[in-house]
Amino acid sequence: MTETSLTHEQEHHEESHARMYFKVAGALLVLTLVEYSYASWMPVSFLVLVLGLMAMASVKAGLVAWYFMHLKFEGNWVYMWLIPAGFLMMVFILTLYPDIGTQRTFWPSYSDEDQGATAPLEPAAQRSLRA
Amino acid sequence: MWLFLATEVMFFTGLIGSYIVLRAGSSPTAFSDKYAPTTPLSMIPPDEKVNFYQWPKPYDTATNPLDIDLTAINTFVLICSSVTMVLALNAIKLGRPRELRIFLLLTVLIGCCFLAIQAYEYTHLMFFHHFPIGVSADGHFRPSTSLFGSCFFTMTGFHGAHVTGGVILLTCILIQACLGTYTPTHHSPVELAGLYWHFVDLVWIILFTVVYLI
Repeated sequence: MTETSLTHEQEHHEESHARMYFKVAGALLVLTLVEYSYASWMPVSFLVLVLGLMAMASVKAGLVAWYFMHLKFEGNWVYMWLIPAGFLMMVFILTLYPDIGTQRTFWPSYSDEDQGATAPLEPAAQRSLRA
Repeated sequence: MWLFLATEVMFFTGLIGSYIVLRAGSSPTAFSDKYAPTTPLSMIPPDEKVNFYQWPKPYDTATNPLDIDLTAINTFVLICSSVTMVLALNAIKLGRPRELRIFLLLTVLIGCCFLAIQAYEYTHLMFFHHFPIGVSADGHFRPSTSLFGSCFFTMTGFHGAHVTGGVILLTCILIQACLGTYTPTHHSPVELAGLYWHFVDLVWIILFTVVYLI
């Protein structure tokens, strides 16, 4: 038994949402396949690979946020929360930048006895390097 | 819920940002196809031909143990659970409680399927498969294996914990739905739980791309 207080027009409007959800789901699945194929088979440079994959991931994330999370129907006040989140994100990235993770010149101070450190490449060494 | 999700955005931004910084700052010779991660160069004979990498490449079985095909299927699974979740919300808005219960149950089951595949992947990586020396010194891929290993397990582990919490939350919502709590005019817990679940899916979309494909 249907317990609804919706009018016929309102119910039809809500059912059109279901069709939209299936369309968005189809788009997400197609994008996932394209992303997978792009990463597996496209002979592109690292930069083009990263830009392409992040673009596709952003579109997928946008579809989920806009339609499934109903961001489309939210008021503009929701975007206000992006301001402190974005600010803290930038602060975090900027504070991480001088971190040891980016200090390649740090590596030469390790001796062979130190655990896990990889010595810097000696210019005279005959090795193949691939980034 | 939006405020909570903003804090979660900051949490995962921290994890992904750290991953990017640590990866960008890795030594060009941190990984190789013939020696364990971070083997000192002084231990490698100078006349031996070795391919070095800054970070394990996707699909390179010599240095990267991750099964991208299985994880792509897992991404498909999680997207399906997002679809059933939004259909559950749509059902209660239309005043169809039976459909609500069915779609909520499907969402919970598909979420459990995602966790099961993750658990299989973890046990496969950590215990049941022997990987080449370029992946790990002892053949198993664990958080202690390498920087890549610790980053991978930290990021996917925290996401898995969020999915587990989401499954528990949705189970509670499902129980309430079975008790007839929700109506077309009172269903905000369903909507809020759905927001959290979609966020978890959104994070996985980004994680899959950053950790597995790049």
